[in-house]
Amino acid sequence: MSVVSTRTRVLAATAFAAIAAIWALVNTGVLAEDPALVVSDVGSATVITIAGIVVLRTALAFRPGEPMRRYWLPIAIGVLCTGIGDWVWMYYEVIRGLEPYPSLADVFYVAQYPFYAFGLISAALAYKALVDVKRPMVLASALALLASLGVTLGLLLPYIISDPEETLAVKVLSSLYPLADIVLAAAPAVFIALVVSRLGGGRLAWPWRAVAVGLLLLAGADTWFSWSDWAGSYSAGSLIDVMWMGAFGAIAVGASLGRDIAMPVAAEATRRAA
Amino acid sequence: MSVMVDTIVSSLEPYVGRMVADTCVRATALSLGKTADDLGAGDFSAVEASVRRLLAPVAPAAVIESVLAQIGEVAA
Repeated sequence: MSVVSTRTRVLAATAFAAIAAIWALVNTGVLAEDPALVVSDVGSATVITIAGIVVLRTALAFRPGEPMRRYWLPIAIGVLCTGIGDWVWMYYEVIRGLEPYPSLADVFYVAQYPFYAFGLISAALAYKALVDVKRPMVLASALALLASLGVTLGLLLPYIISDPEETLAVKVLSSLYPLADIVLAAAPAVFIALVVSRLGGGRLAWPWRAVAVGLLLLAGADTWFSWSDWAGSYSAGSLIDVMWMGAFGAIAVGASLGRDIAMPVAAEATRRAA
Repeated sequence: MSVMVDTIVSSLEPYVGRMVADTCVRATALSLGKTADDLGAGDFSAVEASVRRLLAPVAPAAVIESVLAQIGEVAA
């Protein structure tokens, strides 16, 4: 019997199909501009909210006090924060026809990062009795430092911070997103990916690999967005949106794999007890 | 390698990979002042404690119970 459940397979296929359908509807000219915007905003918010619910279900599948719940719950809260932020943004853009920046949506978008960092770093450190976690931590920190320097020198200082037309709030927020992505999302993702790489093909590594891929996609999409928004080249439904949705799709698949590892075993234990 | 060691490694390997499974066995044997090959059915309680200590922070409780049940069947 395969360890990967039908639920996870269906989830992965549905996420891929939904993201492809949203991208196609928005970018192939099938829809006029306004309906395309509705599909883009509502589609993105729906995909991310469902991802948050999937991660939350994984967290709650473990008993209170069980370590796995302590890792997955903050990640679920982070994803749900993004989902709420997307619905708030949809309200501004689709219903009121506004594109405020910064806005209430940014409160939720920014709030996601500490939750990812807490969940992933806690999960990675939990492996300290099994594998070396110090070297991955040093490597991930060094990469984060280099990437932060690169983004600051290559994107923030020359384009965003020095732009005389932008307000201080915009400069702060536009700098905060890519830096938070590197320090609080990508670095913890690299950290846990390096830690679980020592497990080889071990099943305990599967969920964290998928979550790491998701957070690296998120960091890439956010950084790309910061630049393209400043350059005025961003449009709803672009490849950046696909990367955002794909990021949360990967996190949801990782969470579902987290349940797959435990649940067939639990069913077998019940069968043995009977 | 003893049947006990084979069982511990084959029970752990699907979850933590071969290298970490071997490390778990050696660490358990070392804590008992033995080599891995000297581990036997009589060491089950020490093996159980060691597996719980190593896996509890990273594995679902159901997985730990399943691994211990497989090892326990051989130890019995």
